[in-house]
Amino acid sequence: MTALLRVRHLSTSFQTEAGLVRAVDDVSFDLAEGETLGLVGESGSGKTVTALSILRLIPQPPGAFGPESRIEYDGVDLLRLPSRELRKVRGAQIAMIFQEPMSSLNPVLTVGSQISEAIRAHEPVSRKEANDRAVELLDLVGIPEPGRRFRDYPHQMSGGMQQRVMIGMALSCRPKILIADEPTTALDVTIQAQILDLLLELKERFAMSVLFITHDLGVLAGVADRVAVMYGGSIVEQGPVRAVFEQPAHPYTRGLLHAVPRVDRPSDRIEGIPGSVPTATAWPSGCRFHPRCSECMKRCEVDAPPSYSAGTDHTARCWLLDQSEGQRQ
Amino acid sequence: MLDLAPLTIPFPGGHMRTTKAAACLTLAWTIVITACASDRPCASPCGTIIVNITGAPETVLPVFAVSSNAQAITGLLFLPLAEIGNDLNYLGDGGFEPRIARSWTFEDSVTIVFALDRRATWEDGEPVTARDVVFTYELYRHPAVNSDEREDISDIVAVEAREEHIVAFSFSHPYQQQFYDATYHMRIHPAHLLDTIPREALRTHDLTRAPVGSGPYRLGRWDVNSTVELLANPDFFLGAPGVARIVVQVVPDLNTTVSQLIAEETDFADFLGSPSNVQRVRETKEVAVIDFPSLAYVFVGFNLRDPSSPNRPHPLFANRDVRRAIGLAVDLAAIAEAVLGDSSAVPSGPVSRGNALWDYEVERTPFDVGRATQLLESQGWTETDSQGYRVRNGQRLSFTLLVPSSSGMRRQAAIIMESQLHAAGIEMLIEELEFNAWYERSQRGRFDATLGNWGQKPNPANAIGGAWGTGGPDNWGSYSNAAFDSMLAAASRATNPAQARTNWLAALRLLQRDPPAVWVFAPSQAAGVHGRLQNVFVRSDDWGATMWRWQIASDQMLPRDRVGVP
Amino acid sequence: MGRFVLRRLAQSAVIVFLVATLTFVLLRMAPGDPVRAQFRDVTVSQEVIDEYRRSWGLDRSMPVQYVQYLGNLIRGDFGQSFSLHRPAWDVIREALPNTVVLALAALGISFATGMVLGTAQGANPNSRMDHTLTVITLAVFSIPIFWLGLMFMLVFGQWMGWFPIGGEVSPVYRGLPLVGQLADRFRHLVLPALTLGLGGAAVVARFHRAAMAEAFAENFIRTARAKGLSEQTVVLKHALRNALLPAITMFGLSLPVLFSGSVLVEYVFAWHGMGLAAFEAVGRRDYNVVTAITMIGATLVVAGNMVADLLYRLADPRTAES
Repeated sequence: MTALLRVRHLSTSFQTEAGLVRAVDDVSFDLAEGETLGLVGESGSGKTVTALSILRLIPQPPGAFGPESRIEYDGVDLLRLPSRELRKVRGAQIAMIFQEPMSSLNPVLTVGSQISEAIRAHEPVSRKEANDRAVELLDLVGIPEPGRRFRDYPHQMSGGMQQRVMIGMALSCRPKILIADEPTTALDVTIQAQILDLLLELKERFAMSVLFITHDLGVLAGVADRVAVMYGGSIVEQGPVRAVFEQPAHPYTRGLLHAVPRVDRPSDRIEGIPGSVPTATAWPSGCRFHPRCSECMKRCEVDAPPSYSAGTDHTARCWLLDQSEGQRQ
Repeated sequence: MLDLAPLTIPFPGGHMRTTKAAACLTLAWTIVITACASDRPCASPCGTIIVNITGAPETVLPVFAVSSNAQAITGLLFLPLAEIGNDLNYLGDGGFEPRIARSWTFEDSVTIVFALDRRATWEDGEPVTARDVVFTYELYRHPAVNSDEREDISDIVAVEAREEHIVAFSFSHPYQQQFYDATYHMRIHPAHLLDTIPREALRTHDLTRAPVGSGPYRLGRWDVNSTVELLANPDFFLGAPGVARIVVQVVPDLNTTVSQLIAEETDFADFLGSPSNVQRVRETKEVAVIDFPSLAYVFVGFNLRDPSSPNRPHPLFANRDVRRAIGLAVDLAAIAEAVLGDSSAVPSGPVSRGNALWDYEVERTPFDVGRATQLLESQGWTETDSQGYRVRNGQRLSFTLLVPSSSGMRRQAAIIMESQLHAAGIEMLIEELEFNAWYERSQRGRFDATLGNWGQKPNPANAIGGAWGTGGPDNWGSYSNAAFDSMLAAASRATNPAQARTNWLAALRLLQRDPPAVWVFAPSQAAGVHGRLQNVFVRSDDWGATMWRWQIASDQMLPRDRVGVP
Repeated sequence: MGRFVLRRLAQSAVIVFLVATLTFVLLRMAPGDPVRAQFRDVTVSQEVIDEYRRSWGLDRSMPVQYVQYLGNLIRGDFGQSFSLHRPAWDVIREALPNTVVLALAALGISFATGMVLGTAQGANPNSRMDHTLTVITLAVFSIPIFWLGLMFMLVFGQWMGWFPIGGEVSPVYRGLPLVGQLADRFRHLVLPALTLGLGGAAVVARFHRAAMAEAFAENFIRTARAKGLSEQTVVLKHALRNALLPAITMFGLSLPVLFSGSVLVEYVFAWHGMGLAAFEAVGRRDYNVVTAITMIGATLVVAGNMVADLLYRLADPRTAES
């Protein structure tokens, strides 16, 4: 599989009154054509900032990318693309859906116009054509009476419907990559499954690559081909979904697997790992997980571990791998 | 107004001559602007005069005119029988010029017969006849019409049309001001148009907004809030006016008016306001300032009655010596200098500068704190409290002065007076009120002292009697001095000017000894006039009186002079 | 929607009635006699005063006057002006168009300038331009309107001679050709409209900047950008449309301020509108004219607020059918 999207050494920081916040620190991963990569982590781990960084949706200032950072799509570095060119990628090549469909839709515009607007931004079609396609998309994402719902405002729809609209909007230009940032978190449990099914179905149909961001490792089992686990702004472990689930190499991943969140109480907090996520203004020294790690060693407090191989296409950043038969990559 | 009992006055030869004092006045304040000797006025009416006034005129029909602006505007549309002279003489017919009346005779001591000018016509072409004069008199006297002049003509008992162009005025008794009363208060109205309208409906009748007059100008357009446009009547029987059009515009803020004068956006304003405004205009080359005597005087009126129970005398001001002491303790020349920039503006009594009485040699009350102290101490105000105010029986010598907040000059004068009186141990508190509130308090006698301003007509007798005579309608302080009342009456009753003068002098001197007020100042007034206007004269009582004779040099016309004028 | 309009109309009628009653009471409570107010600084006999009082119906008892007053108002009759000897309506008829022209021009300046500045600031928060404009708008906002008017008059009227100093038209306006008349009206409008509008522009800019900044923080802006829309579309279509809602509310609130502000501006610039007429009428205790102006002003303000409410409902679909 060739990598469609290649993220290398991505560092995203924010200048705030409290100081420099290094939200994402030296993150690298690939997204292959047709692949679904699950990006998992707790709130504050930097997964959303990573996703937003890909389309440069981070406001600059206060946001800034490190000099080493590169995000290559189809061989082009998006971080160094003129904004005119970037706009041609946004929505058309790489589309995105968000956690809260209610606030992500403009309340004073009809849902139909928000979809057709996305089409007209990239394709030289008439307003009518764009509207017809928007109705088709509404139908595609499973909205009944799409012709009538086209004229609805977001507030006239349920949360699930709104997210379907967001998905329809994201697919309107048949993008190669869909970034889904916690698309089901804000929804009712029964709706969550429907939306997940819809996403899976459309992914196949449109042959898209998906970057699926979630705090819920459990969701990924049925969705992702590969998984990347984020903690403290870095990817601590990544590998094929099977390998990560069956042979987690990082103590944090093991903790996550032990504590799959309770479905009846949606929460961004992962129970079962003592302590809380550190803040990005003051990462702990050494391994950022060490204050919470049950297997913490002396060197963990001082030195940050490099990436070690933990199997085929499977890596993790943990000194434990160095102690055993693991060797530096 | 008060009725003054007049006396018989013989009229030698039937006509009176202008008084000498009034003649001197004319010389003193006539300023005729002549720009360049080569400037030639147009042959026929040309150009435009733009006049700024501060308030909208209430009417264009003279019988309803109350404000000076409405009187000036209606005066350009309607004519009196005869026009008072520029010296404002009101005795006999001295100085009066023919208008609707071509000539007149004093038939006997109570009858004046006017012969009307046969050339005089209304704007619609109808001739002006004796019937119009009779109608006019009835109009002014009619209670439902309610002209504020109707008291002024109450000594006229009858007006009769003897022939089509002969009309006779009969008076209740002989007196010197008969001719003035017959001609000054009334402008002739067209009977053939107005007679059919019920008198009580006349004030608001549509015809009052489309007046048909006989004067040098006719009404072009009237926008009630903003402008009155007058157009020259080229066929005016006394000669075509000099200027083709007069636009009177309402500009409430005098600062704006001054800026407009300087920017040559307007041509004339009869009042410029504060001395600094006047100075701004004086510094402008294109605009001339014309100083003329005002017909107003400013006074601090004392209340001789207790404001809380009018049946009792005022605790302070019922005492003549306290009133005199206050007059002695204020340096009026200093106030006039500070407020008007003119220390000579101190009057000798209830007298304005535009008045013949101004020149009568009456001693002004001197500034004499020593004498004031003596008088106060003689009345028991011997002790002084810690703040330097005089005290008697534990009571401070203190009173409140009501001041209308609308008048900057009066407010300024009050503040100076306050500190001057403090130096003499008298506490004067200042209470500023909105004009109408001040007027109501003053008029109802609910004050210790009030800082007022009275305007006068050429004949000051009625206004003086009304404000200071016993029982006068505007005698706010309830001043009452039988000797003064009889001197005032005797002045109006005098058989010749010398006798009138003697009585006026006595009356004014009496008011010095038993003052009902401190006579603060009598200002000059400054008008601003654009320099291209020629033959300009501003009469104290009426800024429009001579405007029909003003001219614009043909080579000095501004572009706006010609816009819309054929 | 129809029901909403009906309810608002009923509320408006009650407001106008209350204003009418309050005006009646306050005018008669104010010190100063309406008849005496017509005779400034001149002596006049009691007989004349009494006759005026009788002919204006002021000799009747207060309740009787009130009932007659309400009866006349219901018939649309404002009565006669005391000081101008003609129907009070005549005064309004001439003054109202002038005030409407000035108010619309000032509103235009306030909202056009304010929205442009606020949008620019809100779209680039904390930029150098934003900080500069903040200083300028705060400075303009704190300048007294009277002083601003006098300065404009002095600089652009008297010194530069670019614009006329006073009046809504030249005294010789009637004689101008049509194009000249339009130009004349425009030239007269500039200074008073700027004087009345600039303060409002500063307020609108401040509020609109905040509204834009708030709109920009919304998630749907991120969505719009993620769709690949141009920044111009993001600002003008997505952010501005949402920031319009506070602006509409401000529009409704600005009407009474505009009316009271017009009194000063009309006085200084000799602009013969409702504000100046009100100033004159209050000074002359011209009850019927004051009443007429208050009623018309109240009606305009109430109507303006109704329009603002309707606009709000049109602009915000969330309130449309609730």
